[in-house]
Amino acid sequence: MKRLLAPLFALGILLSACSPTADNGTGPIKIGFIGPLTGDANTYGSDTYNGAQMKVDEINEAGGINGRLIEFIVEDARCTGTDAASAAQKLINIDKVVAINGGQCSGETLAVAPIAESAKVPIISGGSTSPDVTTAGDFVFRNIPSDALAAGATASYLQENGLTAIALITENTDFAIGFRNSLIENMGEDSVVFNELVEPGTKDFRTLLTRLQDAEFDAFIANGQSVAVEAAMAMQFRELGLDHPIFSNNAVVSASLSEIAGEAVEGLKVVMPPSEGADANKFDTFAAEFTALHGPAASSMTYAANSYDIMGLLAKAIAEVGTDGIAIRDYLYGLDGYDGTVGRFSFDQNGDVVGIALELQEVQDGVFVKVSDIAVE
Amino acid sequence: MPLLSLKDLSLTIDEHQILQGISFDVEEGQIIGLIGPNGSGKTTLFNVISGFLKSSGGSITLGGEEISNLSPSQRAKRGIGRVFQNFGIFRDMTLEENILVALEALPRQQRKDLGDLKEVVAGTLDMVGLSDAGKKKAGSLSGGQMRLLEIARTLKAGKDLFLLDEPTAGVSPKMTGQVADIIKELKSNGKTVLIIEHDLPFIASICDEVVVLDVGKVVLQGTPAEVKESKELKEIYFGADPTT
Amino acid sequence: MMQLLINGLIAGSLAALIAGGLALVYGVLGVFNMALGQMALITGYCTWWFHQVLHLPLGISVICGLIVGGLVSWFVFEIFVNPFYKRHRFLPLVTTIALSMILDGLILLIFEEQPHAIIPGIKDTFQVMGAWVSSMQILLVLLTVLLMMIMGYVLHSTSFGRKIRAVVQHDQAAMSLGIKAPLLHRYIFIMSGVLAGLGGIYLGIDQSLTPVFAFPITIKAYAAIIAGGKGNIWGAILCAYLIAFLEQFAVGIHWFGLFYIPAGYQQAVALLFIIFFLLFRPNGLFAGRARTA
Repeated sequence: MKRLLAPLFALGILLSACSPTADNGTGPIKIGFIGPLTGDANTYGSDTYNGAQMKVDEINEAGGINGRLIEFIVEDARCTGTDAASAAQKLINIDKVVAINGGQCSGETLAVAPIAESAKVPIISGGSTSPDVTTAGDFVFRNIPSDALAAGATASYLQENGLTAIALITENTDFAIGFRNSLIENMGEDSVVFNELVEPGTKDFRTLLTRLQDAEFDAFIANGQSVAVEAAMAMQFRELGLDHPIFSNNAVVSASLSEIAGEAVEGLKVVMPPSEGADANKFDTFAAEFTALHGPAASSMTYAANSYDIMGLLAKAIAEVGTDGIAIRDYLYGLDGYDGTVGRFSFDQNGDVVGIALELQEVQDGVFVKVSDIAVE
Repeated sequence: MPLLSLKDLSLTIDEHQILQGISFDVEEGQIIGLIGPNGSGKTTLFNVISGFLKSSGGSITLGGEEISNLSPSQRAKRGIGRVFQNFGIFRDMTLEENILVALEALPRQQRKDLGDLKEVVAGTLDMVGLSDAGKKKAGSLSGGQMRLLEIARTLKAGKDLFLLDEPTAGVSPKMTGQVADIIKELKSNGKTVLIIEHDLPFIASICDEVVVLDVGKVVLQGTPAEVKESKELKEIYFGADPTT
Repeated sequence: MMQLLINGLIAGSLAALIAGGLALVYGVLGVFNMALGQMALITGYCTWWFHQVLHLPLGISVICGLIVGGLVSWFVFEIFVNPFYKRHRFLPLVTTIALSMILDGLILLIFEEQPHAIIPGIKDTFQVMGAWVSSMQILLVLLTVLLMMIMGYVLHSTSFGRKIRAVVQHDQAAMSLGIKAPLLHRYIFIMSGVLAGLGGIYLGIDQSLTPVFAFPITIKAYAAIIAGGKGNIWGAILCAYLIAFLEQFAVGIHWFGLFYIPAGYQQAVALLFIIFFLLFRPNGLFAGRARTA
């Protein structure tokens, strides 16, 4: 991948070096969008696009930003790095956008980051949760909490509840391994009494779990990336007569988890990005408007709301400091707080969101429900 | 009317002419020897007659019926029996099963006429002196025993025309006589036999007539004595004699 | 230890069903069916559909699923195998790989990506000699063993079975005795599809059905038939169990009281063992010759 992208980067730097200033102060203000509008992850793409377009329409109907309309330029990246990189090249070098909402998938964002960095165009993602996005660059922001935060929050919750010895089975995928590593980092090596990595798609855990019958531990972390794997782990855990609490990660939150695993996942706990904002009214109003326009969210309303907030925040930034990328970036870092539909948030020195509380969800009667908010340090 | 009649039979595979213009008749009750050098098309001819290969032209009639469009199993049901050079027995099945499966493959009426199949199986084993080995795997037999078993099985399964492909191959010299005896027994049972063999004295001792094949053609046909004396046979096997 | 044996039996019975189906076809037709895993999944998915969507009783759903599976196998035989396998026995390797891709797509299209379980939820488990089992698991294992016994009876003690074995061991000799080998080939192919389909149903009951699972199933079954002696049905079934036990023991035993083999190597350990084994017995564990039944 890197080798493929390198010539593109080089081209990008060349083009941006010899191009005139992006914005001449008149005409519409161009803002780009990169997301998976087609392909396997298209549900995220359509929700984030629809959320963003809603805000753009609102702003333009109200007269634009300081009298200038927003021109919203949308590119499909199909959740792949290569497509995201070429989309970013086009938006930055040909369209000369001021800022980009995207990518949505972590892979997209990570591929766009170096291009945005060299062209000094800030990007904000509402859907990328990979811990790698934290260190992706100076111009990269996101208003969705990193998986590392979710893992950290899971670790704190476990410790606060006296569940200090954990047994972990991890599916061998980037996401699940990232979650495991953050969890171990936060809890310390000593609290992990069982730590096994299984091939993706494994469905027979009986023997591994048999070893747990003799182990002393407080909680089982079923760290799968797919619902089928997660369901098999939980079912076989319970079928071996083990009654410890089960925790998992947010990749497995899906209605079909309970459809398959039934009572095995009752009480399973997961730390999730918020299902709605701190101000429930504000979020509900947004959700109702969104649903009226586009029907229910294809993935989750949170992604649509994040994307809606990103457009609002960018408009506010441009209204206050103009269209210069560096100025917008500095504004975002210095942001005291933006009152979005998902709550009041700002960014830390890495561009990671601050102020969005995570929440603890639990399966009750087959449905994931919110148990409590979890503050993020 | 001859039992088996081949007329202008030919076989072409991938533009190679394997058999061409093969015509001869086999009268009921005859033993015909089929000889010729390696690659002359003897086994191929057997495969065409038993239906494993489809002829490209000409006709094969059995008892007056054209059979060249029938499948191997249909031809078998009309009485063509085959004994294979590489032993057509089922090595991982017992001797009893080997015979039983042949009887069970017969058409219903023919099977009924045989009466108690177990007795037929016992009789068959007795015929080749293997009564004690009925529960043994056929693969444990010696080459000669396998050959006897295969011929006896074909006989008891009621075949009328026997295609024997090198029945003495893989058989110890001691048992060659027994194989010859059982072939003669076929004749005394009124069966008709076509036999491929390299052992010329063996052929001479049991055949009524000999057909000589070379490069897919019939080059000579006659009594064993006639064929033995002919100049052509020597030429085929040893090449033309430069002194004559 | 008891639990390890039981775990091995549960995993092995599933593998044995698929491997048995594969070995049957390889043994009789000399054909590798690369789409068997997908065919197994389709039967599993159909059973799920009859049971969970149409709400038919489980028994009837299983029968309906198997009927669909049998019909699919028949269709596959006529279209993807029959026209090719007599020309060259490796041709169906190509056609069934193509078929497996088509079926992968169809499964995704019809049943979608999310997993389905024929019987969702935890099965009530109880302890037998210190090992946890559910009555459903006991039933599944016993039914598999029963099925193998029926198959053994049919192959070894019926006229039909003798004919099949005759075709496997010397198809020309069988045909020249009047046995209709091509017809038996068709029956065998359908039977193998049904057997593998039972594996799909087993998977759907014991775990869950996901579209991507077909290939790993097929590969493990191949390991079993290669180790079992190519085409030796009983060898393949025994090796399927053996591989399953090895996988369980690999990660379940505290080796020399010092370490556990990491679970990520679970599948590799079993397959490595087989490679190692084949170095010493290239014809497989139970083979005197290739292709026997």
